[in-house]
Amino acid sequence: MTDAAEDTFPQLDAVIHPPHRLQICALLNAAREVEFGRLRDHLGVSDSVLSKQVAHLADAGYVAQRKALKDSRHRVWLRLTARGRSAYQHHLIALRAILDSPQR
Amino acid sequence: METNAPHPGQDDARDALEAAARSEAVARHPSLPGWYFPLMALVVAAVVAAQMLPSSQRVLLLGSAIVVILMVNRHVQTSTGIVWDSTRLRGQVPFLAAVLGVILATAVTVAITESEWVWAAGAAVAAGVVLVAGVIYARQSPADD
Repeated sequence: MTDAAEDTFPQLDAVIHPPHRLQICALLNAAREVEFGRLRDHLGVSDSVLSKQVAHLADAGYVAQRKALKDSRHRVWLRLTARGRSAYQHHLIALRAILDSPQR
Repeated sequence: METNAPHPGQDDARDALEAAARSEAVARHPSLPGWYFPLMALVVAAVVAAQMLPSSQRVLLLGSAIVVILMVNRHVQTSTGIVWDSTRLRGQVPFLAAVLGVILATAVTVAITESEWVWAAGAAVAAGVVLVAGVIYARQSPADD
């Protein structure tokens, strides 16, 4: 691909691109809120691994967290922010553009 | 925070899109408790059958049904860990239209035949619509959920 073509090619989002973070964004994109434990079970990772991935997304302003008390223990609910939703959609567009582009 | 844009190949892009689609499907169709649709069918049947009751009792039952539906849905969303968004509600439009259609058809039949018992038959059909919706929903839920 030429430099000019690269300039106009949709850019992948480096924050969202790692597989676990993409799955987190995908799950959050299709719901209003998702509980931390539910995300952890879906990804099949430990609490610490998920916390680390969520922290990357939160630092970028893509994910917001809310703590709620249930059965005398705190549960963390996560949601995609408007910025995160937009970044996720652009990331999907960029992935589709790669699929539609001529084989490199 | 990462700043360099990654450059995956077509196979990686395809795998990423498929993984994202699977995750979105899990959020759109989370597994619901086995009692959810039977309970909803019972509530809908009660609302339809309540048309045979006097007005004051009918209003009380309708109010109770709304409270039960709201509480059950809140409980299910909290326990499954997924709070539904508006796109999910839009997906329920055909199902709600079918239930309303049954209620309307029953009301018309009762008006023509002047037979109150038709409401009981309408209640059974409306409950059946809810149960069928439950079967369709279960088929749409991802297997790995």
